[in-house]
Amino acid sequence: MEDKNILEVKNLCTYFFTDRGVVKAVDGLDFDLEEGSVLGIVGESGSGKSVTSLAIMDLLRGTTGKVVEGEIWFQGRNLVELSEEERRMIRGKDISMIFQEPMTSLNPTIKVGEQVAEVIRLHQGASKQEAMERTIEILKETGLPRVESMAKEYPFQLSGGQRQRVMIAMALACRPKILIADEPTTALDVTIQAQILELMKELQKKSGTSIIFITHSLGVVAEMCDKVLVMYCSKAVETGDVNTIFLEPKHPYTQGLLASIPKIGSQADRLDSIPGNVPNPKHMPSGCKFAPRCAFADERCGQEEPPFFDYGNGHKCRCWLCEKDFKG
Amino acid sequence: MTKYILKRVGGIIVTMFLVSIFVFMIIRLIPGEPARLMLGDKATPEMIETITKQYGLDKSYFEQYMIWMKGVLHGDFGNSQRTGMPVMYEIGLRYGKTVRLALYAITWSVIAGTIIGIWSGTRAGKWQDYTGITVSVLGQAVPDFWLGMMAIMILCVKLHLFPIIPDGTFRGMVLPAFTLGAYMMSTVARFMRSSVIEALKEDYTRTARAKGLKERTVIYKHVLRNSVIPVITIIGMQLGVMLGGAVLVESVFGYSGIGLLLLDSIKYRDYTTLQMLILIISFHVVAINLLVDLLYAVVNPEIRYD
Amino acid sequence: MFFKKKNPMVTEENDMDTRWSDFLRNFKKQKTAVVAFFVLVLLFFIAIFCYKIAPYGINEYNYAEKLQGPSMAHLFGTDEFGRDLFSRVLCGTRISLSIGFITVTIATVIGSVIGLFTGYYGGILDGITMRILDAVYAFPGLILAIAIVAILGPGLANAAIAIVIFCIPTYARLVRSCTLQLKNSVYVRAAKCLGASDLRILFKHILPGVFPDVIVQYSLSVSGSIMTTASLSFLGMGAMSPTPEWGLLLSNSRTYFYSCWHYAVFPGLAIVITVLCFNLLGDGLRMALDPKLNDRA
Repeated sequence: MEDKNILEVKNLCTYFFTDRGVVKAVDGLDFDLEEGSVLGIVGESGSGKSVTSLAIMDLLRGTTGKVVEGEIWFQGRNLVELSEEERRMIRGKDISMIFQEPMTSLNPTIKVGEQVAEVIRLHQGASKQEAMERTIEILKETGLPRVESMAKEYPFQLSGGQRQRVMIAMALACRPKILIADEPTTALDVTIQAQILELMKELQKKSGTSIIFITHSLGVVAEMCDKVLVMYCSKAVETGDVNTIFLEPKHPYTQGLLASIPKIGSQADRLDSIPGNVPNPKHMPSGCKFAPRCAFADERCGQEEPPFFDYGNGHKCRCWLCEKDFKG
Repeated sequence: MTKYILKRVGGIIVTMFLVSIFVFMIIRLIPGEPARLMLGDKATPEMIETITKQYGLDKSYFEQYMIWMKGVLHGDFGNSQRTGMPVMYEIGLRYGKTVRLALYAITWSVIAGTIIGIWSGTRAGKWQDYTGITVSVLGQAVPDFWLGMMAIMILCVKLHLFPIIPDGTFRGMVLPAFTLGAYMMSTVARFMRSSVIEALKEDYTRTARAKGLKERTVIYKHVLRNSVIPVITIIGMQLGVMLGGAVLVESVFGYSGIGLLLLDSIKYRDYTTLQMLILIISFHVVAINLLVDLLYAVVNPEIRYD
Repeated sequence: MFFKKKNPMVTEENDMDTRWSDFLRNFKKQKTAVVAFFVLVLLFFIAIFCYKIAPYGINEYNYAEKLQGPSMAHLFGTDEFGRDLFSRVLCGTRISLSIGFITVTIATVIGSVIGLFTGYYGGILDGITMRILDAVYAFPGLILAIAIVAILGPGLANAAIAIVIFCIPTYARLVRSCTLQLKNSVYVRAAKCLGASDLRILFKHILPGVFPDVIVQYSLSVSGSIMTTASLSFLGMGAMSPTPEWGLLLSNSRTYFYSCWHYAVFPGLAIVITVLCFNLLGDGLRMALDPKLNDRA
């Protein structure tokens, strides 16, 4: 199993040092990404999903955030220990990323084609003309219409869905080993969302790229992913393959998330929801972070942080409730 | 794009019309008989009669304006009361000098301001940034004329590095251009800095970094293109201020350009010249603003394709 | 979500804070602005008590001691009539500060009223006013002031009138654009639904919303006004001898430029310090009133 993992994240800690104190955005996160698979990272806003991806990409520069601990293993190298220059060479070539906001993620003053061609010239040493030809080819693969003329247009002349296709083309231009997609469909219309997901699935099948798919929508996870990692307040609370998580969720938080998906044909008057809010990062509960919102929480949950309980086959859960399954 | 230009030009015609009314009124608002003001104290009654006829000074303001405007549009700006020469000639003598001074000042200040701004903005919070901020904050607080005086005192009188009176050589131009550009440089630096800081936080900058581009490329290709756009507007607005500053700088250095002519025209009650100078200066401000708007459209594709 | 991280999260304590204490807390963070504020307070005291503090009378002639360099007796040296420059520069504070405040206050009131009404009612009146203000903008500030002084004749009072006139468009435009935004805000519409009169809406509901922007501009304008007064006096169109106005002092110093460095240096420094403090205060106020800017600069 070991050598099949293309990316291994071990005990990743990413903190933000603000003038109002330290915010632990990611605190002791472990996960593996299998080659050719799609890993979904699910969680509410502020749970540390996006920061994780930025840490892998080394894009925390210019913020107050820093990776303070942990290892990120990729192709036999620990990315955390690499120089800035070495990481730059990996970015966009071996690991690339699609962002949440297609409307603002493209440079408004540079032509669309050039923005894609730039990556190809940089990482594949292609000439201007080769790069442009490749760009047209890739843009066509993403299903964009009238690609030749569109390449000469500026981002504001494109719709949101079209821009996200350009972003995808840009990310896949150098056939990366890993693609990180940070809520790529959240900002789009529902119909466009489905199209973009379809496109990503198709391209993934064709190229065998491994994907880390960050989302807060379990529906999207069910459709896209092989494995799931559920994050809550900067920690992983449950992980496993997609069927296990959907059929036998162990963590109350995962159960809550699943219950809050509206089901067609159900007679419920109200949608189930998890009571309360994500705690303020400055006033983190001391024990299990989810305890204040958890219906099953007892005294110990408020004091002691639960460890991971391993159900085997990659299914792990961080909850005291699981303890009884192991005591027998 | 054509529509955009037409709209701008239309706005300018209206503005210039209002400006011309104001300028036309200058001589009529000054207490005293316009004809006498135009001719000076030594005017004979016959001369006054001629001028009154020529400019229709006994007619209504509307008719007077029409006569005056017709003259202006034909390039007839009247004669200077001080020298008796046509105002056009007097202005023509000095126009090139002020343009030269302004061009030097604009060139160095915009280049230096941009460099300092980028330097500060990309190193926000570090010592380079604080140096940049200090320079620009001071530059905005120092009066042009005092800066000029200090420059003369130290660099000319004490160190003999430059001629005290601009002699038309490049060396003679250095100090006047430096003084005139100081405020502009500070303003450009400040706005460039905050504009760069802003652009560095944008999503597209993150995208550019995610591509694995070199930090230099990220800044000079992706960040700069966007952060220059708002600065262009500021430069346009400051050019007008610079024309005002030219009066002070020319006065300090005894540089005989438009600004000094303006001061002389007030000193010698040469109202025809004063009137035309103000009209010409405001025309330049308006024209510069139009140019800046067009430049703005060139760098900002969203307007260009509108 | 990633960028939101940097903004302080809205917590219960934050919600309960009033705008004023929010403002104070943010303002205290602007160290340079706080320093500038205290320097300005000092300058105010100097302006009020200058004639009491000044070691010599401002027009105390002493030909025996003319054009002397700085010494213990004359901190800033003396001028061509042997008058004490330190006393004159000190008393110049009152002139500069009062002209700065009076002109800008008048311009603010007139400009704000124009901006409020044109912004609120819109229509032809608005169109015409804005065109006229555009035309005023076509004159660089100093040139407009020179033109007005040329019409009215030189003198400090006329210079002040000129400054008021060229400051008005800035406020009219600023207040107008704020009014346009606030006019459609929920609370103004709510007030309208409750049957509040236009005047009440304008002065009770819209004006306070415009206030922060006006305050910031006010501080910056005062420095501009002081600078312009000095410039006009320097050109011989503002203050007249023997007024100890800073710009005029500088203008007089030009004759003795080669021998008396102190004559030109100290009045200039006074202008720089005053203008600098108002600029820094204005920047600090802007940051404090718009916390979003905190990250930016």
